[in-house]
Amino acid sequence: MISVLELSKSFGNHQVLKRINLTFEPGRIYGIVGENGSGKTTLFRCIAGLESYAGTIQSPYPVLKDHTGFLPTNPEYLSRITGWEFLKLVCIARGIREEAFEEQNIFDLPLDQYADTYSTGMKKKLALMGILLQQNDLFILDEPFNGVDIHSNMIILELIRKLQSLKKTVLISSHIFATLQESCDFIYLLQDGQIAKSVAPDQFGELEAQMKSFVVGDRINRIRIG
Amino acid sequence: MEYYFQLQFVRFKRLLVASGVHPAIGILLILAGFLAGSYYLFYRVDWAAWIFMAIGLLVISQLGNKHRVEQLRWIFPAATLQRIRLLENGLAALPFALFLLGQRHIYFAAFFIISAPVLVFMRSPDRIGFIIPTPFKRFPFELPAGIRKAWWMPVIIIFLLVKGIQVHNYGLSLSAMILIALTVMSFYAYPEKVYYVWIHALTPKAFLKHKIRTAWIGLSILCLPVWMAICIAFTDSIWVSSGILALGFVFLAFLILAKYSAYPHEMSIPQGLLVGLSLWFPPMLLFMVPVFYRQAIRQITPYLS
Repeated sequence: MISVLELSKSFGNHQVLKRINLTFEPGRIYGIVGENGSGKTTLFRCIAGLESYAGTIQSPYPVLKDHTGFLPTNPEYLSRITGWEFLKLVCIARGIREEAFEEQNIFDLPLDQYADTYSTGMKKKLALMGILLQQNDLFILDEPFNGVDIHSNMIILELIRKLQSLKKTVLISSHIFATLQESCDFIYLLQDGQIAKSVAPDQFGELEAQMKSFVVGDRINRIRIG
Repeated sequence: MEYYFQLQFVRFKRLLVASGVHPAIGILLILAGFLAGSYYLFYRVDWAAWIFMAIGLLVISQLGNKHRVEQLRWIFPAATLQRIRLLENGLAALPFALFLLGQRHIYFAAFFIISAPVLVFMRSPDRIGFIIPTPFKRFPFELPAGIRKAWWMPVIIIFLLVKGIQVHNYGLSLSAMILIALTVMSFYAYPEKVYYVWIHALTPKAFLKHKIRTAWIGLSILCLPVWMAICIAFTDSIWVSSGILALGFVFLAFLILAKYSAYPHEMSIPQGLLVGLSLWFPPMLLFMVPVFYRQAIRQITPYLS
């Protein structure tokens, strides 16, 4: 089990995360929703160990990040490195001897092309392949469905279910509520850097309706279209 | 277009300020460094004009990198883009051309002045979608990416080596080996994105060891054939050649430590000067290696623990 205890994060005077407390169990999928700027990505980066923070993260691993696969919203690639070489690099980084990437190329990516020339969706799929090949135990997927075609979205959903059956812990953020509804065991609503609500599947519909009324409200009528 | 160049100058000044140097002092230091380095090269090395021109072309070719040109294309119309690129290359070529003229290498200067605009219209293999094969496919990114970036370097290295052996000029042949070492060092000059350090399941100490070991393997693969050719052609100088090769390995490890001592930022100008001084006066390494090692451990620990 991974426990986040009293986690806070500030950038200068701006406090982005305020005393967050969460627990994540193996074999469970957790969704994090919230508006842009609510702190989802910062929370993910803190859990991944890419940002310093105040508070504690407890896990059964000596170094949690060595068992964590982090899929950023917009994966950045090194120039003049092919997809194959990127996958080799992420495997070497974890001491994994693997080279059979072509046969595991579930997204049919052009692995012999430079990764930084890939389209947005292809970049995301390559990064996802990388963290899957690393055989991580915790998967942090920041907007995994964003910019990816509908067929690949179906594959990603199935992959998430497979990870669940393998007793992996998965954290997902998504702006597409339907994808979270389909896959998550719990959804946390992050508002102003705090967990405003944690919701079980039977209340997902209610949460969506609440979010819609809160977020949309009468905004549409405020803009003079046509 | 004028505003673009003003912005470039503002960016350059900000870079100097961020490096901890007053812009005016920074510009003077760069100018002094350029002149001192150039005079030193011409004073110490035969065929210095060839090496000087290769360095100049390397600098100019950096301005035409794919990402940079694409950004400019996104902002400016085609005709303006072409004018900007021609002016950029011309400005970058100017100090090299003037120095060559000052050294009375008129043909080299003329070739250089003609090459600068021609490079605007040349397309590197990756700009036409050609993936350059390298022997470093299974190595971490610095080596394959670096080799692809310096794809034209082997031509110069082979020329220097062969010409040096042909005319029995030890210094010229040796410069081929030095150029390889400098090229490999350049692969390690800039810090990578934090993600690419973070992914490693290694302690900071093991990470640095892994980086240095890989760089050494790469340098061995690239340098040893040239070193062997030099040793066979100049048997009297085997010890000097071997000593310089060994120094290349030490400098490469030192540069890796220096890079990570400032991580995730680029090295500041004072740090760069310390590196330059250590390369110029190697005994300084005895003091600087432990300093940079400790700083590197401190800087990468947050991303590896």
